[in-house]
Amino acid sequence: MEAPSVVRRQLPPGRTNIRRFIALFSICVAVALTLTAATWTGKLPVQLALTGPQFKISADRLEGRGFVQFVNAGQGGQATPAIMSGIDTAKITNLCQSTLINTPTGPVTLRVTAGQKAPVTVSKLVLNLAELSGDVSFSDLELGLDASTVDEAPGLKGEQGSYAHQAKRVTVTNLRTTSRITTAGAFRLGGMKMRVLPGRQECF
Amino acid sequence: MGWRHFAEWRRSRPLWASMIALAAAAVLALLPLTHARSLSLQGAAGTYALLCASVLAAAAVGLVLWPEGVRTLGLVCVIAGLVSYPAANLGGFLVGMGLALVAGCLAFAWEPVRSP
Repeated sequence: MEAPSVVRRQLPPGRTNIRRFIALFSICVAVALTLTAATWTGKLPVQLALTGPQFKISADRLEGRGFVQFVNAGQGGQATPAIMSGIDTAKITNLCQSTLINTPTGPVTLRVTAGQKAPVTVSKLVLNLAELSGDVSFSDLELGLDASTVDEAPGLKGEQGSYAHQAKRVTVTNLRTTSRITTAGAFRLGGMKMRVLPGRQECF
Repeated sequence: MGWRHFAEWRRSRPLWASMIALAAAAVLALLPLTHARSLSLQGAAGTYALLCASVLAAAAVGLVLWPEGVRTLGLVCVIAGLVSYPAANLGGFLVGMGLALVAGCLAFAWEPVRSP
């Protein structure tokens, strides 16, 4: 019985040419190393978008320009309303991000740290959080706005009818977040270190 | 349609490269997709990750269906893997990028066995 599909076309058998594999792979490794070096020196911004309870972020200090916050109720049938925070640009000192991975041999922690010497800069930071703790201070705070009218962080708006507030500047010290839903933004991770640690060794 | 046919079929295509490319796509998509309902709020960062993942998944399918194009598709995988580093959570924390690069290089190095 011959199936007529393209999948069953007769083709000669093939194999991997190891020399060609090694040639291209070494070029790839060289480019990958260049990319990591560019991140380490803070030249290359990297896009981070993480969701899930296994991600935690902490920082000693966050200084942001252009802060908006609004209630994001009922988005896509969400059971509990979440609080959306957006920051246009931010400088973060001593950033730590950890991911807990459950493996068959027990938990493993992937930890990325940056910004010890010079602060990490982030643009278009979006936090859709269940939990955020830290000492927060604002300047030029406007309360009681409609979420569709906020303009401090261009591109970040809520739905009409939801409560919102915004500020020109925000400072958070001892920031700790569990990003139950979303964290995203373009990060310049100067002095980045990425480590895989055995067991539960999260940022906090 | 028996086992022999399958073995013959799979020997004529870079099946491993395709599987690894698919795994890379899964790793890249998993981080921003776990809670897909908030996707619209993730902005550019989530979109780039999914874009890289879709390109890799498409290439993985292509490697099986279009064996003549393995070199091109291999390069596509390599480029998607390298782009995923700045665009998609450091290339799925290097794991997704590594898989994509291995898959791409395997596909690129695929060649028909010359008959003696």
